[in-house]
Amino acid sequence: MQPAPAPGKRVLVIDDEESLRDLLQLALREGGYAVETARDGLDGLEQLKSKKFDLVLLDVWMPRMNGLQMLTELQQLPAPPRVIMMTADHTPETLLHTIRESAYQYIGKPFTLESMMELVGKAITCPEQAAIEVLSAKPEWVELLVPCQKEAVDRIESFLMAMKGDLAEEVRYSVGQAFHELLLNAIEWGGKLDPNRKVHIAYLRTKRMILYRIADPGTGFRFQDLTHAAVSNQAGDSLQHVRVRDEKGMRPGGFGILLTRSLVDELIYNQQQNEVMFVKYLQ
Amino acid sequence: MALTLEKKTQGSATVITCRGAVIYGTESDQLREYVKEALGSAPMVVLDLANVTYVDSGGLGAIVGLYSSARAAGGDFKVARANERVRHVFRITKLMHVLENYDTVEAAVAALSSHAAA
Repeated sequence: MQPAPAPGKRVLVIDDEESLRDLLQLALREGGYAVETARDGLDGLEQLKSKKFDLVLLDVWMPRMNGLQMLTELQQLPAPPRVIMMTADHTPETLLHTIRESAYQYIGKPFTLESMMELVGKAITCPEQAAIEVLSAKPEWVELLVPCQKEAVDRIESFLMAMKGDLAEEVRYSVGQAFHELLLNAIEWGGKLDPNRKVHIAYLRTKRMILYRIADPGTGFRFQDLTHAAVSNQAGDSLQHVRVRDEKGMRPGGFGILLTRSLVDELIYNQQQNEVMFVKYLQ
Repeated sequence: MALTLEKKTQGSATVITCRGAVIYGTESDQLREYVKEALGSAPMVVLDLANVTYVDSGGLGAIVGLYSSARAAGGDFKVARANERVRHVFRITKLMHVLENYDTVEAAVAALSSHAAA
């Protein structure tokens, strides 16, 4: 297991399952963190009022005060710590509540210690996060305003992927990768990685399809100007755009739109091309 | 999942074993730095992708960039043991014939050797 990237940081583990509390405490202490535990939300809240913590690992379903109530209460503290929600409850209502109440990220139970330690390291070390605003939180209609930060992509993906737990693995993968590529494009190219700018995401789920619409704050683009993207390569020259990117000093990449086109059923840009919509039809 | 990297020498080749996700950001930067260092001493590299779960556009760009660097240095670069999902990414981006995924590390190393002998 990798050592803690920021040793000495304080973590509070709140879970009514004693064996899991003990296991996480042991692993986190071995990783160099200072760890306290609480057996439910009330106990945890008491500790948070008297001591400062950098991160809370919070279970959802617990007696006395559950994790969702606790998450709401916690946001009232003067300097609320980051929160990772951990639960086997993948219902949209729970997931959307955790986004609305500014949880940092979500991890489904059961999880591996390796994945939890990695997530803890990210949560502790990542730069200050602008809030994700929830405009609509119906399971079949989610709308979010997401800050143009790379870290926001990981965060929002963890929530939205968990909401698709009922779908076939291949559909989840295709939709997940398409969303990842288009959101990165929107945040990097449209939003210039400026956390003060926002990308507007809409997710619609019907019986027969999943639809995403991603609107970025940029001025758009024209396909004929995308010589640095694989989608513009001439037949038989898969590396044409790589040379263009090299010449322009751009980071490696440029495969996003080409990838996405193959993963979804419909991909449509608006006229200005600062908004994109994709659809995946369900069987 | 974070990316972990290990390297070993096999004949005239450096075999780099990747574990985790090769994605835009820290992970693809880490891969580029690690492999470029290896290319400095011997430009014949095999990337073992057996334990790579996910590759995105940025990660793919990093792998292709390393392929180009190896070729520019007079060497060669092959990938081995990519899982079906990663091979699918190679196929739809039309990179299968460029990156030439091999079923085993040994086959990839042998292919490098034939390039060196040619």
